[in-house]
This record gives sequence, C-alpha cells and structure tokens, in this order.
Amino acid sequence: MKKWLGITLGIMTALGGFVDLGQIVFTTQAGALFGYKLLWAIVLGTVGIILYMEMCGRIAVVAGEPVFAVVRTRLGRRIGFLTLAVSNLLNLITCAAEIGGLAILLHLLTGWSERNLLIGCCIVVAAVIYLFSFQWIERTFGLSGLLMIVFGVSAVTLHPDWHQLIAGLNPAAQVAGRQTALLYAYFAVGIFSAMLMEYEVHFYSSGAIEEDWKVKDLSENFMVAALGSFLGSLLTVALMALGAILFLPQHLFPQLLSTAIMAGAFPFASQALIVALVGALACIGGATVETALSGAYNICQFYNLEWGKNRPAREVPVFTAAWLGMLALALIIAITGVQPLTLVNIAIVFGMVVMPLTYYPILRTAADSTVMGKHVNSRFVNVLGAIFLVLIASAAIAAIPLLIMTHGGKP
Amino acid sequence: MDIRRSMRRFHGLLALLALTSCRAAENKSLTELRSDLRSTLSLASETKLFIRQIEADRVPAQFRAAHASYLREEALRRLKAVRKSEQDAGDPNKFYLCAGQLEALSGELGVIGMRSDHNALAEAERNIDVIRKTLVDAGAEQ
Repeated sequence: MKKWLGITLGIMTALGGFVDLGQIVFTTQAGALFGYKLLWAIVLGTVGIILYMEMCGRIAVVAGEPVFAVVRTRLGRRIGFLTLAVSNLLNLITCAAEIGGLAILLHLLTGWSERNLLIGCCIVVAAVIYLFSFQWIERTFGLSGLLMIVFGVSAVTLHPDWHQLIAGLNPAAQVAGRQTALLYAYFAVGIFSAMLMEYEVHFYSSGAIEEDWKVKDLSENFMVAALGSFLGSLLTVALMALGAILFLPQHLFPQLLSTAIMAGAFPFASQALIVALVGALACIGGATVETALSGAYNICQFYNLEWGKNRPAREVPVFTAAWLGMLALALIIAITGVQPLTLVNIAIVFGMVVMPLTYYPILRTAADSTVMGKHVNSRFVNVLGAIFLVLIASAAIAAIPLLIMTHGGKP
Repeated sequence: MDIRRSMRRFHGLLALLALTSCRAAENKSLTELRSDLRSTLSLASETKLFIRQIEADRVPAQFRAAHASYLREEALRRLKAVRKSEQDAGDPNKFYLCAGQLEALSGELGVIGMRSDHNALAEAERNIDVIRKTLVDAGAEQ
C-alpha cells in the first residue's frame, strides 16, 4: 500500500505541471486551432519529462543531490545564480497565476468575491503546506487531481476521430499559410515547454529526498515518474481532443479557464461540471504548492542551507520563510489584477528560454560515473537525453521570436 | 575578450528581435482587424455554446452567473482594445462593425447572467446568431 501511495509524488508532480492553469487553456486552444495535429508535441514532452524526472530522482537518491545543488556544482556560482534567479522569478509568476486560477475556480463554484477568494486561497495553501507532511500534501493533491479523469470520459463520450488522433503523432502536419505555420510552431513549442516546466524536476528531486528514497527504491523511481507523467499526458490529450471536437468546427478559440472547464463536463449533467471544477482545483492547487515549495527548495539547495518540509519550521527558518515569501509575493502580484493566463503564458515561454540551464546539469551529472557509480546513465539514456537537450535548446531559441511573430499566440 | 564577444552577440540578437518586431508592426492594423473579427466571432460562438448548455440544464446557477460575467468582461476588454486601434484602421467601417457587435454581445451576456427562463435564453440565442452572421459576412472566417 505504501509503495502505491508513493506513486502520488509522480502523479502530483505531473498533474501540477501538465494540467495546471496555463496548460488547461493552452492545450484546449491548440485543439481548437489544429485539431489533433499537435499530439506529437504531447508525446515528445511526456518522453522528455519521464527521462529527466527519472534522472533527477536517481541523482537525488544516489548522490543525495537535488537539482539546484547539481546546478551550482555543474554551472558554477555565477551562471548557477543566474539560473536560480530566473527559475525562481518564473516560479513566482507561475505561483501568482495559479493562485489567480484557484480564485477563478472557487468563484465559479461559490459566486464569492474573487478578491476575497485570492486572499483565502493563499491562506489555505499556506496552512496546508505548514500543517501537512510532504507525503500527505502529495497524496491529497495527487489523488484528488485524478477527478480530472472526467475530462477524459467527456472526450471519449463525444467520439473523437481516432484516425485523425493517431495521425497527429506525425509532426510533419500540413498547415496552410505562413501565419498559421508560425502559430503551429508557437503552440508546439508552448506544449513541449509546459510539459517540461522546470519546477516539475525541482519538486520531484526534492520530493525523493523528502521521502527518504534509498538505492533499493530506484526501481520504483522510473515507475513513479512514468506512471504520473503518463496519467498527466492522457489528460492533456483529452483537453486537446475536447478542443478539437467542441471548438474547432465552430471557429471557437477559447480564452477563458471557465470555457475549458465547461468542455471537461460537456456531455454530462451539472454534477459532472462540479467534479471537473474540483479536479481542476486540485491540479491548480497542486501547481501552487509545487511552485511555492520549489522556490524555497531552490534557494536552500543552491546556498547549501538546511531544508525539508517534514522538518520543524524552527530548524529550517530560511526554507519556511522562502515558501511563505513566495506565497505572499504571488498574492501581491495576483491581487494587482493581472490576468492569470497572461502571467502563465509569460512563464511558459520564458521558462523555455532558461530550460537548457536546468536540464544540462542534470544530464551531465547522471552521465558522470564518478558521481553515480554503477547507477550512471546507460549509453541509450545518454543519447536520448542529448537528443532532448538539443530539442530543448532549439525550442529555447525559437520561443521568443515565435511569441513576437504570433502576437502571443493570437490566431 | 569573451565578454565583449558575448555582448556583441547579445546586441546582434536584440537587433534581430527589433527587426522582427518592426516587420510585424508594418501590417498591424490589417492583421489586427482580421484578428479582432475572428476573436469576436469566437466569443459569440462561445456564448452560443454556453446558452445551449444552460438550456440542457448542464450548468449550476453559480457557474452560469460567474461564466457569463467572465465572458462579458472579455467582450468589454476587447471592445476597449478595438476602440483604441480604430484610429490606425485600414478599414474603419469594419472596425465600427466589430465594436458594434461586441457591444451587442456584452448586452446579451448581461441578460444571460441574470435570467435563465427559456424565453429569455431563446431570444438571446437568436440575437447571438444575428451577431455571428454579421461577423461572418464581414469576413471573420477568412
């Protein structure tokens, strides 16, 4: 039973990364514009995140080094600090967007004032992080996030075109016109980037240490990373399918979280819509916790300070102050009234730009036999990791020009 | 030496980005017009889909009111943006048409948020159909 519950780390990490506020709307928009043609980007992103999640989990167990200790060692203090600053800025922006998303969902459920809900959400998230152990945080958000399965059931009930869906695995899709081709590239980069958001590996590797994984647990590491990511990617495919089935034929480009959520329970009675809202609340809540904690993990790991969610707050004062500070700053940003979706789109695109600085040190360390001993990467994993690093670097170079040329992904 | 070379590359990249932005700005009003018409049509279709879900009794009351108000806010936000870009419009008539349809749409959304009786919804749906047709005739689907 304990082993099965351990999988919730993978589920929460993946759901918080794949099915967060931005991804729910972004993937539905991709389906609304291109049908299933971008399915390959989801598959590619899933393979990439499984590969790197497994690597950073293995490094955490064998070398006892979480991601930002690896970043400092491999990139040096100056570039390492730059990576820390940018990563935490993106974590903060994403955290603010997710808090905004939570307030929107609760407003849709209760009708209460969004401003009060913003403050309330922040207090509840802080209380959950403070009071719950790491294991209970991941179990609560990981398991309740599974309510999002209603999106998958909706997509299947609405009869997707399975032939077109399988054809979407081919990246060489025909898109007419320069502007449409640019939009296609923008959405491909965006989906790939959102699935590989840095906070997923920050959280996962720190979680492996929080849960005190040992070398004997390494066989489960791959299963946890793979199963969680597979579930997350299935839900992402469901979101794309809903966009393709409901919105594409009507030239509808959904720009609101509430529209995407409504699609998640489209063929069913109003109770299903409540289930979809609660499932989305769990996923976006999970993403809020992930980004706030990742910010604190990164700072403590980079400066080699004491950290740990399961340790009393007075033993890890910087860690506790850091995640509380992340939440407080995120609340200030959210309360200014900036659109959460604008924030999360900025984080996705700029996250892509700095992504190589997070993934390169992970690959270097996992491939280093002096650190990893017999648990070093196999030749196959090294080649695959290098291919993905090239893809990540290419997407990083293309991200900002594509953002400008498509006016932020406007059709 | 390395720092200077990196700075030169960085400036090169900035220049490239600036050129890209200028090129994009050339056809701004025309592109914006097309984009505004398309997004207004999309919003009208989104509203129609929403009305159908309400009529099928698939939307709880709180969700109905909140989603209608989000859609209305979006319509008003776009209306503001359209009015702002009217000055540089290549085809002012289409900009006025777009602004008019957004205004009408926000009015319908106000009704949907407050009333859930069949007659009001049916009338709102008919009005949304007129808005959509007007936009399609103006070339929103091109």
